[in-house]
Amino acid sequence: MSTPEPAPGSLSASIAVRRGGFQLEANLVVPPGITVLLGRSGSGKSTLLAAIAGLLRPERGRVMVGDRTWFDGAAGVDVPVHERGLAFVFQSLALFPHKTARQNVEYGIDRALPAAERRQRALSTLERMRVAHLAERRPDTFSGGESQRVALARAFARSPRLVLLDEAFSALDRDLRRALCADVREAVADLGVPAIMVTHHQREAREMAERAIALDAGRVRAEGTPAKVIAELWPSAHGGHDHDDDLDDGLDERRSGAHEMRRGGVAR
Amino acid sequence: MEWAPLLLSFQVAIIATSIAGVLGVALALLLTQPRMPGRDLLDVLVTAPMVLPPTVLGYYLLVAIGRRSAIGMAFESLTGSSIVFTKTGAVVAATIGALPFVVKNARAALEGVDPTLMRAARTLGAGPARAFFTVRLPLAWAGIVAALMVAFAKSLGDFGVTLMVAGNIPGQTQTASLAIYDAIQANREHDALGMIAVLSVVAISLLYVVTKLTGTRVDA
Repeated sequence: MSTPEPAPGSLSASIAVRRGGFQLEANLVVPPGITVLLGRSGSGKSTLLAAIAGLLRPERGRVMVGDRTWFDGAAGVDVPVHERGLAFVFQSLALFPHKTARQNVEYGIDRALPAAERRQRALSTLERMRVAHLAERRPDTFSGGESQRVALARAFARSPRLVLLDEAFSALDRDLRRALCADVREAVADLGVPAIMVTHHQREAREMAERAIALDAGRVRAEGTPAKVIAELWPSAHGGHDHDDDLDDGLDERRSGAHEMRRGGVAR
Repeated sequence: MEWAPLLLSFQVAIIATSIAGVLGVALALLLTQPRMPGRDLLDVLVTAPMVLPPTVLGYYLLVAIGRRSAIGMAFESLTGSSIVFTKTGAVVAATIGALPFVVKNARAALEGVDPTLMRAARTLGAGPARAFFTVRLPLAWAGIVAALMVAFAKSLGDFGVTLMVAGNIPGQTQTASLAIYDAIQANREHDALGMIAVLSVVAISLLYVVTKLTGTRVDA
């Protein structure tokens, strides 16, 4: 079996994590652009993201972005998370409540740059994410969609080598999510770096990404185009209808017939 | 009314609160580390002054910093005066009494900050120290200031430990609490009333500010 050389700047990771009874054992290569990470709750998506970021120390394995090694269990390499130059958007967004939008974005920009330049870059990134008007306001005054955009601006403004989005859009309704997706696609394309986005929504997966990886019980179960992965794992979801369903449910149903029957009468 | 004991009390309380503040926040931070070895033991040791009888605590301090202890001798050879039965002794007594209040309340304040915010700071390029000083400490600030105010109120009024360690020397180690005791014993009640009023007003005002500041209960 031949493995094609990954594109420059790609993330390649082989990670083993054991947490209590749960075992994550995943190998993946993520080229520049958006790759969605699919899988039901408890499949290890968040653990995988945390391990790649260095928020959690893998038991063994290797994490590389481009030619930089972030983690190598065998060689004893473990670059601290703050020196990895990545961007992580948490599900809760984790905006600093005591800082304005501009200060939040400035926080992640290289401190070697002059203050004026950092400020300028923060403001232009906020503008790009269409939230320039929030620059001098604090997060407790933002709507859900506004918070999302500020959190994304904070992530993109630091010119990361890798972007990790942990269900960052789950709190938004469909229209807001759609508008945001376009902006995120564009920002990631401009950065030219790999981005992994955890999502439950197959519409979001199809619209956002060229590639998808499905995780199940701590293992990679399928990869390819979102359409292919979804068709492979959730055949019932495949088709031309309005698919904004939670893919979690699809996988659950396939795994457990009894569960499906019990759920049959529940309107959603 | 006598001003010297009150002045001494405020002087001692300010120094003791400063020391207990820095030491207490550092200890509180240490106690928030889930994997720190001996964490529970340290917690108990730091909290012990809250439950030990002041005379017992005072005895231990006399043993630890008395003129014949290692610390006492080292201090005396450096400064020429002993720790015990001086103003320094009064400061030590007040610091030990205030420390548990700082540690307990500062720890609660630090633990009340959403850990995801610290993780976010780390992913944004902040090392552990920068994440602490720019995110965790500012967000815990109200609780820590409240802790310092309670500590100040406590050290302003310390009686038992101060008496054991610093004695009751008028003009030298006689703080307001001790002077009030002396005055009442000697049937000079009118001498005590002024000090009683000042200590009461200060303590109650501090408590009011603390309640406003935290919006919640503070362990006092």
